[in-house]
Amino acid sequence: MAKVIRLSDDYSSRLGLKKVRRRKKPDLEDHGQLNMFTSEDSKIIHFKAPSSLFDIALNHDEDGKDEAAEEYYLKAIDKGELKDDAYCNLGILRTKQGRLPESVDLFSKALQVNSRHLESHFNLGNVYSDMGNNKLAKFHYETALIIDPNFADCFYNLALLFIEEKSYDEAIRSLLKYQQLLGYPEESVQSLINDLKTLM
Amino acid sequence: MERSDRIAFLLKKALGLMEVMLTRSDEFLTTQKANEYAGIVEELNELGYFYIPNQRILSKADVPLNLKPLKKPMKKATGASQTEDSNRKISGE
Repeated sequence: MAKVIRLSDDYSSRLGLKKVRRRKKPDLEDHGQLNMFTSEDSKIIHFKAPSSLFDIALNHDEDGKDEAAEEYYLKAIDKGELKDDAYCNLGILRTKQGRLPESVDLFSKALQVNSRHLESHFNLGNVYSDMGNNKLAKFHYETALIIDPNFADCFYNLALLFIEEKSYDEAIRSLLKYQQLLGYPEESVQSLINDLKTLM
Repeated sequence: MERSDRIAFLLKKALGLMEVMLTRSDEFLTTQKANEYAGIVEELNELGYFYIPNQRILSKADVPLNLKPLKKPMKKATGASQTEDSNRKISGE
């Protein structure tokens, strides 16, 4: 026979309506996943389109399009836009073409515009060293180091000049400074320093 | 690694062995041997394979070694000269 079950008439224990609550967002990092996209600090970065003739030239230069780069560097110079930088980079293009006297002329023009143009001093050091004029090369490397005493590559190139002159003491000092500025030991440079020490 | 790179790597290893041999005794380190060593290093660097030579061996060579290929390359200006002051720097190479 069927059993009749009596339901309770006590309504107080009934489950009530549920309010909608703001759910806590799961923290992805709790699940072993990097939380890369939910940070409120995230910002959208708009990349700038090249806004100047110099920028266009530099973009071509970086892409290895030397002719286009040259054209826009010249346009930038005509417009009086970053003339020192434009002359300097034209000088590098001339050096690549093996036209060293012209590159010296262009770096010098950059220095006429801005006598403290760091890259032009460094590059002139390289050109003069290529031409075998170590005195002038040293002068420009040293000037670059007055402008930026932490210019590591400049210490390195200066050290090579000292080695050629057999000024090993000064070469070691420059290489040590180079290592210090790099912040980590370069194995080949360390072995060069050790070699030089045996010569003193 | 490309074939030419592998050959250059082997050549560098061979130069290292040559250095050990030549610097072991002054008897081995003759001017002729030092010149040969300098010639190999120079050619290697001219081909674009960076190799810093042993200075003790070079000091015995009567041909000065051209260290120019080892130089750090020229630096391009990046248009910072007008946006920063004249004391801008290229630190932390």
